[in-house]
Amino acid sequence: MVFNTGAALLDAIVLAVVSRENEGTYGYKITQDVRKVLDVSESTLYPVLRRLQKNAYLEVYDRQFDGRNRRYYKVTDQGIVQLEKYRVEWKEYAKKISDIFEGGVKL
Amino acid sequence: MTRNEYLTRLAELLQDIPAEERVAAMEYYNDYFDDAGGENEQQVIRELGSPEQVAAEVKAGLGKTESKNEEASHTETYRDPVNNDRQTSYSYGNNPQYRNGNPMPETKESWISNGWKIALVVLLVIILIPVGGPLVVFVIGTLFGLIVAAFFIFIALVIVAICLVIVGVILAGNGILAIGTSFAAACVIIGIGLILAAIGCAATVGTIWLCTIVLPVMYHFIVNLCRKPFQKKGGAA
Repeated sequence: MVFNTGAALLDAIVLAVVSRENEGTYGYKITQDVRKVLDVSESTLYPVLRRLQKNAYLEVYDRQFDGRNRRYYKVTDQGIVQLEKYRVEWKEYAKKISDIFEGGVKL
Repeated sequence: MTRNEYLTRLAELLQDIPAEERVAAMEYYNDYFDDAGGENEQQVIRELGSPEQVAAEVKAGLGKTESKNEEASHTETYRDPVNNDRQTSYSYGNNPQYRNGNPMPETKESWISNGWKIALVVLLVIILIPVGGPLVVFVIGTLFGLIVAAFFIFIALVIVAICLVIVGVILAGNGILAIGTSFAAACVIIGIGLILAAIGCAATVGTIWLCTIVLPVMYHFIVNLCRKPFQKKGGAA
């Protein structure tokens, strides 16, 4: 991938990925989902998840799976609000960039 | 490198972050390996990068709670995991002891805190040399002076007592010589001389006895004083 993914965009992407699962999802799956579309290192996502959790956009809970505890991440109400902000911001940003690329706008 | 070695190394590298953060990160990567499945262990280790890289990412994430628009690079710079010959007695496998919130057993070899210690000591020495140097010389000099003075005061007492004896004896001797001129006067002089000699003898014995008690005490005091800084140093190291 040519373009870098900034920290804010990465936050938004992870938040979006987690919010698609109503029951919450877990670290390994989040990483695999993000990596389907984005070329990020596997170790990049832990700090992102931890940050989102500290900002109260995500909550964690443990659930039994296969005889062990697995940590699940679930989006909070605050997280949904934040995700909506990201969506609006992204739409504006993407539109501006597209306009420049496709030459429709006078600078 | 096996999964256990990898996680143990990671835990070691995270020794200098708060226990809560360490536990959270270790749980995450423990889960990560569990979810990837044992057959993918080597692949996961390869894709995560070295424990050093993972630890660096965890630490870098600690500083900021709200992400700004700073660029995070996600270039894959895979390095061979550093071979570490440090053996640690603790390990964990499928029993996630981290669930209970148990912090990792403290290892004494966290190089960062050691580095900090050394830096602090160096800084302290640099700051203290201009102030502390003269102060130490002053204190040692004063102590030395006091000790020498005390020592000679006791010696002087002994000498005074001995002088008293000598004066007494001389006086008595003069008195005996004066018997021919005035018997009464001679008796007085001899008497005074003998009394002085007796007092002198008693004082000599007394002061010498005093010295035998005081000087060893002083000697021990000095020896202990000289030993103290070294004992302290040995204890702190």
